[in-house]
Amino acid sequence: MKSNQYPVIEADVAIVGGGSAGAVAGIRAREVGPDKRVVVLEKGHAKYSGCIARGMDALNIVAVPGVATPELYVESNSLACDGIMDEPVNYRMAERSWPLMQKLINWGVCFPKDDQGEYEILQVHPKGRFCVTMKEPELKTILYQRLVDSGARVFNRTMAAELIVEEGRIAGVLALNVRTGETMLVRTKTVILSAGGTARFGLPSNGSMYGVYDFPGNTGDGYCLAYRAGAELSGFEYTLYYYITKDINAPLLYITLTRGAHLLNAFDQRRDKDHPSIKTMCQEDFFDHSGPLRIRMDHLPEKKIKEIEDLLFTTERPACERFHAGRDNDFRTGEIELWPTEVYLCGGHGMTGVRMDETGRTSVPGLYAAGDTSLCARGHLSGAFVYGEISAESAVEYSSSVSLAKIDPAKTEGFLAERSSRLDWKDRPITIEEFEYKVRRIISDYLRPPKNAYKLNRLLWWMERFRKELKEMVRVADRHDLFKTYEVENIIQCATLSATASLERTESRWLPWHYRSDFPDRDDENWMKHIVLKKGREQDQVQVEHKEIIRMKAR
Amino acid sequence: MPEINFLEALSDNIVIDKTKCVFCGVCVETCILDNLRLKLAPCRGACPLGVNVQGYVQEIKRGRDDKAREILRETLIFPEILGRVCPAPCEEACHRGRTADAPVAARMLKRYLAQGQQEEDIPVPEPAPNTGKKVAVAGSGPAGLQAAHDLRLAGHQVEVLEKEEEPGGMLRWAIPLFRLPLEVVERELSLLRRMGVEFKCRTGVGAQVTLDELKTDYHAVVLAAGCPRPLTLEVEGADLEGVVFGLDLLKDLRADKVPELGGPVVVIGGGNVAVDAARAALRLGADRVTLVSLEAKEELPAFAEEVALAQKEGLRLEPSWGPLRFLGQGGRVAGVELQRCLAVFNPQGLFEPAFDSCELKTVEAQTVIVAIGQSRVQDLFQGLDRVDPLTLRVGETNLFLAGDCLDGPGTVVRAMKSGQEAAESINRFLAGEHLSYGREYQGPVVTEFEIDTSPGSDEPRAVPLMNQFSGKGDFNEPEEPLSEDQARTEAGRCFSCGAPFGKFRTCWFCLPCEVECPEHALWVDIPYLLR
Repeated sequence: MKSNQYPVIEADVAIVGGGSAGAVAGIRAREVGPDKRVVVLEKGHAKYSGCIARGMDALNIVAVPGVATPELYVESNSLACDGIMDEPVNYRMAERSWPLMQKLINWGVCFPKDDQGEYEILQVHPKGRFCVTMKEPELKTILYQRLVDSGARVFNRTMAAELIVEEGRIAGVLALNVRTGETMLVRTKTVILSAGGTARFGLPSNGSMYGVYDFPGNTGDGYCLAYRAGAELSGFEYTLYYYITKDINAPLLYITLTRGAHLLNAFDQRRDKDHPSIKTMCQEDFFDHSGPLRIRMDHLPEKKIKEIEDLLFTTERPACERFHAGRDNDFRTGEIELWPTEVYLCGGHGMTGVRMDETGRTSVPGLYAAGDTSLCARGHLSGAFVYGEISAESAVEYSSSVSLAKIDPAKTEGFLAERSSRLDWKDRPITIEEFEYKVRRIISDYLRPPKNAYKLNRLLWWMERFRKELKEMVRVADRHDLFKTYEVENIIQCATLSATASLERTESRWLPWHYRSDFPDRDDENWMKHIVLKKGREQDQVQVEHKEIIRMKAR
Repeated sequence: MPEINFLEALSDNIVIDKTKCVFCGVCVETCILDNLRLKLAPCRGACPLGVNVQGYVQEIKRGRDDKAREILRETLIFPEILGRVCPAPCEEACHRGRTADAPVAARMLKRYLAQGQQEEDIPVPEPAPNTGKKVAVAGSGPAGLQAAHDLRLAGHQVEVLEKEEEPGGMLRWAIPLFRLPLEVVERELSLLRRMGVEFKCRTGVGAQVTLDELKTDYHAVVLAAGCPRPLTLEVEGADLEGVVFGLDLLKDLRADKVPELGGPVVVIGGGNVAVDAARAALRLGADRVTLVSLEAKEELPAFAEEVALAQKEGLRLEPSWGPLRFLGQGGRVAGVELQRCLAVFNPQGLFEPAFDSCELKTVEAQTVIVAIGQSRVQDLFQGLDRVDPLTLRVGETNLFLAGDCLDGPGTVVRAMKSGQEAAESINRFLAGEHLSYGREYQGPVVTEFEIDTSPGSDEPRAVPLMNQFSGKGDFNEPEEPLSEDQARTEAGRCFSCGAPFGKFRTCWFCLPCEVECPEHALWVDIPYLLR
């Protein structure tokens, strides 16, 4: 294919993923760099894509003046992270969380106040109250409209497939149209990766490949782009799963418990008294075999029930209403059964991500990260928004200091040739969906805790085999299948990274998520550090390093 | 049926209320996981402009004519014109027509919707903010007009240059008024004026202005100069008085410059211009009009409906004959000697008529109208590089071609489609975007699917009220529009073939498809596995 047969777009800032972090990054980049060319590559449609398809019921981390401080947040979240947290990154997020909330309010995002004019601020962390109730069903459309109005160019249905690094810095992004399979080259000075975590990872127990907890468009694209570009990753041994509404895999814990709901285990024992969290519920189910846990609200006054329904059925996952109706779950009389979700990787809920400093900068010049792709441990939506802003500011600043790097045509031609060869996989026996199903089943089998060296090595063996099978057995019936081969390739890569990191950390931590049955104890003396992964010199070789936790400098 | 993957064997949780859906495809475009596809109704798939035929027909059936009109106008800027002159490829593709009795009368339903609409009833779309770019459209036929509309809508300053004294091209100067009344053309063209398109008449390219000047003076140029030049017959007597070209006759008729015709008239040709000219001759006082064509009757290139109508009006057909020479008397034509045509095309499919020179006959004629085709003005195209068939761009220049001048005379709807494509290319060109990216994609649709025929009623196809042709001087339209009752009944015959659906079973029940559905016709069920 000749170069004039695909579009070449020039940009100062290219953002991969138009979800919460990507949308805010786009808006901010145009705010601080009105003359900058900002491009957003979005695999779905940016109006609704990402983990927040519609709205949200809380801004999880806000250091509200007079209520909590960034210092307290760092202390509290470090506890929640069992100490594996770079303090400056999380400090900066907390520091900017309040101004960020004010900005959202200015954009029309609703944070309800009570009769006394106070925001509802819930305690969901070990120390301090940081979780501010939001009631905004239109959160994503508000962000999208601002993004479009900002002048950023949004390319929907476009998946970033490869980053190009030249002269040791970011030079471009090769992208694919998910419907037509056509290629696009974005020549750019900087890239912000905000493509979510790896939500399509383990298989959910409901049997639906897309019935996962986190947004199923997220297939670890951001992680893998960063990895192949040479950036450092961390936290891949944090194989997270949640404990939420059985089968629909939608959240409801804090909305209900903070309004007086009871949490019961299978033996009808109350478990709601000691600040239960997703983690403690997972522990109880995992170690004590006392699950399933259930939420019961039949003792609550009608006003509270209505309040809960009002939030639950309008904001984050409004489909919950029809789910519960279909199950004959009346909150006034029945109970809601909870269940563990599939295993997945995420920087916002967990701590799997591209390593960055408090300016959003990764280890590759010109490459930035935000949101669930980035490592702002357990930063949730606040982390996505704040690092969307910070990475945009840094990227704009950096873009002013460099020119577009020259791209070696062999790199794009090589990618195009490989892409075209996939379109020839027409007569192969296995559909890409069947292949993905098996990949994810194996991930569930071997990466879900309890882990041990045998299982993790088996996982690595399987992923090696899947890499070969993808290229030998999987059918690409049409152009729509093409991008899915890249997605599943990323899922496989993430599994390899996760097993590698899990093997390395010969202790147990973040129970039950990194529970090693062959190393059941926590070992702070040896493992209070990051397991950092980088692409090795050899093909498919993952380089493992240990890095110290970064502490706050004395202020 | 196409191959499916194993996920597609799961049940579809996207529930469509087909009594409300208007098949607009918004849900398909909204789905973030690209789960949805539109089963494309065959009628819509066959229309070069992709007019949502199923949508407007179903809305007529529901009694919502305003909404039907809105749907029609979304993709068709000249519904009143096409409601009369479109050969209706949608009807040819209609599943009912192909598998049952007769196709749904989509063209007549278009006309039903458009009739009675005054200029002020036609909504004027708001053009995008001014881009500061200036585009010239040379030629104001259907291709040029469509291009001008789309370019203006994108915010460019658009000037349409027309060599005649009024715009419209073939719509005004070739299609006779008894098929397309002048006020209809003017009413629909007024839309462009009201959008801010400027018309410069008596400005012919190659005459008052050169193509090079246009390319220099404007940021981009659409050349949509049509095929105005009649093909000539190289036979003895072709220069006799009384031998005229069909296009000239039709043009004179539009300009009120036609002499009365008397005596027998022979029309040479089998296309639409020939039939139009023949029907014009009947109205201009010819005693007897005979249409001589190389083709057999069933192979005539003219629209079959028009031929049938012309025959009812008194046209005689002499199919499978070719003119050998024109016979003269005192310098004026008096007849045509014909020879039997055995085949029009050679075995390779190329035009190369074969005659039997032993089978001859003579027909009497006081006037002979030659309408054997027309071509573009070749001088205009000298030195132009290759035209990209997808983008219609000439070489690497700022010139784009559209309409009949691209690949010969065709239908109005086909010309409009090429105008649309040229405009799309120019919009991209002026925005510095890639010209061909994404344009070969058919869209998020499927075309092979089972069709439930139960929604269609058992009623026979509507027959419009026809005005009796009264001969000389009767320039009224033969066909009356359908009445409201007729239209509702006719729309009720539609099988309503297409619909959106969840194809890939990748639904995350996030609901934007449901929220964005303008008709509240979509419901996302929780997938069975999770329910």
